[in-house]
Amino acid sequence: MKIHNQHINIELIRSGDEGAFEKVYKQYFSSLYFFAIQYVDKKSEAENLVQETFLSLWVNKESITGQSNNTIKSWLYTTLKNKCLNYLEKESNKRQYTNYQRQKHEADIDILGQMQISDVTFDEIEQLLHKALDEMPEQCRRVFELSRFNGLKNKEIALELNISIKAVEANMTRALKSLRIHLKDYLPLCILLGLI
Amino acid sequence: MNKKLIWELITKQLPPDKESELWEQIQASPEWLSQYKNMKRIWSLSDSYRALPQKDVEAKYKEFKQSYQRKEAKKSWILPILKYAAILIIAFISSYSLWMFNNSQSSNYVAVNHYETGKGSVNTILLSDGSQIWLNANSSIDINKAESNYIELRLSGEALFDIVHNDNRRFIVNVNQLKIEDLGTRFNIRSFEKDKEVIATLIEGEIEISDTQHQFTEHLLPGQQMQYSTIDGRYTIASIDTTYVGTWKDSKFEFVNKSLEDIAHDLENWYGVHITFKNKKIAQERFTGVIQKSTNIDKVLEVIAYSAGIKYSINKINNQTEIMIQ
Repeated sequence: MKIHNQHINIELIRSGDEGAFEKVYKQYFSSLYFFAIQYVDKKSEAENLVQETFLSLWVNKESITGQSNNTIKSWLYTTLKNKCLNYLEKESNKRQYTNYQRQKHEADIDILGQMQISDVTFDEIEQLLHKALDEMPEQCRRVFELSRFNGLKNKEIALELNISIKAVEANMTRALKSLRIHLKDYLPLCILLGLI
Repeated sequence: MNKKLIWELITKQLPPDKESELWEQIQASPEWLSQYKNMKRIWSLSDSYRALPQKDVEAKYKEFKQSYQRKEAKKSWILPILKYAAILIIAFISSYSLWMFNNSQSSNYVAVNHYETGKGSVNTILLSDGSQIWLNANSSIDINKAESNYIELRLSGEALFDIVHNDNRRFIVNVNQLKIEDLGTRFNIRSFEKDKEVIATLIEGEIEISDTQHQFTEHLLPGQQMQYSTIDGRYTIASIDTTYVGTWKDSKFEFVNKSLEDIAHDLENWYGVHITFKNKKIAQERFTGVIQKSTNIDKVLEVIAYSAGIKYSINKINNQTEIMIQ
């Protein structure tokens, strides 16, 4: 749900421009990794699958069609989803599971098997987030963006914006409150609070 | 049971015992199970997570670039290979037409070609008749003679040969002081200078091995392996399981009853690191296993150290990674 999507020139990707490719990589690595780690419990495997996904994008770049800003994003997620699914299916033969692990594993296979990823999914989520961010006070939004999109810690945000850590925390709370209102159908506050 | 609990499960905020307890309840109710699946799907796509630190992503990108350049390096081989195949074909066609016109066979085309792989890459050489040679990392092949009825090359390092047998053509591999002749075949030869031995393994067909001093000539049968010491010229022939022989070409490391020292050489060739043993006894211990080459070196060491019960340390000096196994 990266709001500050830089515009990606699909033509440049198709023609094999390394700079454009690097941009795509850096923009989506975190998000894709986050997706993979929800289903693939080993960190190194999740990373591998994401790397393979980008490798696959590079190899198949010429065959990518579509113009929407989310075309590449959908492509990456779809490819990664299939890789995760493959991995889980292979893994289920190899591993010794407890009942709980096997059932969870099967549920994951179900989720991935039925997952439809389209440009629309991301557009929807992004619109919601945009709306929420637009309505936040300036400082509050900056704090949120630095944490969420730039990966800064509270201390670093305080330094960056020249405010106290207490103020960072207070702004974060406000930001989350505002998000809760807009995203309540998608993401309950408890998760956002738990992770940020 | 409520939605909040399910979110806490999905976002891993529950202690393990609570997790399995809650899961039992979810599993018991189709409605909750479908609720769980739906919520997890949205959660995983929502990217609601703190971004990874920029320097981590930067490091990952570097790693990625290396692996894709490796792929590109593989591609760039096609050109010289094709050229070589073309030379062979041309040599063959011209000899054929000469024969047609003069009714006397004469073809003396000598192609000297050098193929070399760096650390961390595996390359393929295709011959015009469909024969294929896979060249392992840090290895080289010099083709001394390539005629329609005679091919001779010199190998240093490791290669897997899949040779289409042709009664009218001899195919000879020189390695160290040995001469290995194909008699219709798939075989693997390994002879890194550091190994101090030549290991020839026959998977299919038949090969003949002789040394340059004509001390011996041996025929290997499928499943047989010759280990020849380059120090004293002694050798043994044994039957082995060839399931994993040559799997290095599929980006896997295979270790079948291989000493840690030999494994270390493989890792050095692939990852470009330097490995030393503090305890020489450990270096001679033998292991069996398969590891994906895409795994990074840290992970590989972790796995080996764990199963071998050894300790190691990693030092990065300038651009060289020094690994010391205790």
